[in-house]
Amino acid sequence: MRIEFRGVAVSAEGRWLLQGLDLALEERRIGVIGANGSGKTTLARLLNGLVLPSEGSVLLDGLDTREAARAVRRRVGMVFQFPEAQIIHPIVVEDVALGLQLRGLPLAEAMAAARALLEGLGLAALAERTSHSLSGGERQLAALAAVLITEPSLIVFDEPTTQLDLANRNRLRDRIAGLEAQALVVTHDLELLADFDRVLLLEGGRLAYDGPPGEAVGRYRAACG
Amino acid sequence: MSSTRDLVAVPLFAALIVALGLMPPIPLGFLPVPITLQTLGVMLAGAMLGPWRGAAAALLVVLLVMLGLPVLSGGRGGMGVLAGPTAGFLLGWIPGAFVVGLIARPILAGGNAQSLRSLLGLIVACVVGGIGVIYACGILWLGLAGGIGLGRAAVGSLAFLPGDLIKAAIAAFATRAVHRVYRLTPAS
Amino acid sequence: MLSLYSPGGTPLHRLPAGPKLAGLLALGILLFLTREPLALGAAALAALALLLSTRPTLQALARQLAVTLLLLAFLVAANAWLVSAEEARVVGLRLLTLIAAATAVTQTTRPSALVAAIQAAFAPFGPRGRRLAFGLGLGVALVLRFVPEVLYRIVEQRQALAARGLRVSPLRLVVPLTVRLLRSADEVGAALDARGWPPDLPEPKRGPRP
Repeated sequence: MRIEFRGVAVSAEGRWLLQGLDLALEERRIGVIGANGSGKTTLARLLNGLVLPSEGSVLLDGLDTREAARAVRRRVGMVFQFPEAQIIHPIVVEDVALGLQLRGLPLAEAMAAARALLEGLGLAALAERTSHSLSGGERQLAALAAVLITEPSLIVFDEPTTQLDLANRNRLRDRIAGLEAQALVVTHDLELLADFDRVLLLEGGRLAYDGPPGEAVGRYRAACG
Repeated sequence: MSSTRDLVAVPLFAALIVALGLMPPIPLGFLPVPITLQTLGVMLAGAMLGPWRGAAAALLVVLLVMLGLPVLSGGRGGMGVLAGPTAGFLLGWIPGAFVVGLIARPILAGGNAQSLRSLLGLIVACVVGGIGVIYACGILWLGLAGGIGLGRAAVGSLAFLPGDLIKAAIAAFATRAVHRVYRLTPAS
Repeated sequence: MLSLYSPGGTPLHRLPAGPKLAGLLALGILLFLTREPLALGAAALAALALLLSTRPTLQALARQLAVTLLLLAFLVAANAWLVSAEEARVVGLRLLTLIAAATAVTQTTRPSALVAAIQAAFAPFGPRGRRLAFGLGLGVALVLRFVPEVLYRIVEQRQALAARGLRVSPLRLVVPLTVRLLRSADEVGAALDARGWPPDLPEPKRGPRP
């Protein structure tokens, strides 16, 4: 998927969250790093139209998020940072099925597809679990399944490993590496980005660096002092 | 975008009403009976979500009772409750939350939401909606379908009044405190 | 959350939810149209027989009905003492009939079947109706999803207060709880939007238009 930011700026409540974003991204694995408040989450949310640019436009394969938000959301999935709020249904398999139901698929078919997907991901054990009983790592995996069910071209991860312990972080890393879809990952977890194709470093709402992960991480570390 | 958030707040507050009902009653030293917190949840829903969404949250809880889920204080539920003598007090949650929201909304939308006057206004909202309306519905059903007449039904309900008045005060203070931190906009 | 539905194979179990709901409604109306002791008495007996036909366990019934029946008993006594024996009879029989029939329906109908029946009632109202029906199902699911979450937060909050040596007052409990709930609404709303809310519900298949 071709991601384009054309003269994008985002402001809210009198301050600029992002400014001067002008670039095109087509790489398979893209990382976004930066300090808290640097605009990472805002950037992530521009990609599925949850946040609309105050200036300029964001295009996904030529679709403008301002005009075609629904079409964009068909192609872009998002895994959020907050584990408990992004699982909507009390039972995992039904939560995974929800994405298809929202597209109009009847319950029975959506459930069958959900079960098949969970099996394919090796997560069949989670299917009948209650959402509340899942551990943090399990929640992120369940959330990922719920996003994968609609086969998005791009999956945006907003700080997916922040609340996970080391073992779960590694598991999620492997999952992300194995995804067929394109992935853009906003993260503090610098190891996660090691094999990525391109990493963006944000500082104070502006793009401070754009290039290979090694360089970007180096600059970030230097800036952190 | 924020409309989805407003929509989602309804079942979340319905969950609050249910959860507060599943909590054991809290003894308050000076009252003979410990207070259950469920109607507090109804008042909060009305005050914080506004009349329509507050009523929708209450309606959702009533629906769950209808579906046969044990969501009422004491783990009760099912259509038997809706057929019983106290059905009015349950169904009254819906117009009750509505009225709480109706009175509270202009107070919260006004510039002086933190003033003493506003606090008194919020208390009035919770008392009129959370007690007045709910008791009216309960007394109507109890008195008319229950045969004993409105006057006696009213007298019978008095025992719950002190506890409910305290709940109304708690709801008012809580709403004001929350509004300070998280602006409960007129639309919500 | 375990419902009060009790699985079984009785005739009432096999009856679909819609007719049961409609029947209950009709019964409610009919009961209040008459004061004849014979009619009411017969209705009460029939309702009790219906309840027994669902093969309820004593434990399940006791849990559900104990409080309600106790209140009914008080009510009947109050009527007998303060109004008249006739009124006590009428009230007692009417409410007993309703309670027994209603409990029989709850015992024999799955919550999901009831939800489906209510959703079906919205179907004739076009796309808006269908979206409302979908939203209703989702609303019920969200409540069930968040009740354990809210309970957990309440317990957490109580512990936090106790750890700080503060008395657990309802106010200190409720304020952080509701703030957090409103913030969760923001998050769940964003997650739901990202998944593709509002739903794209297709037209149900229908025959040629007149």
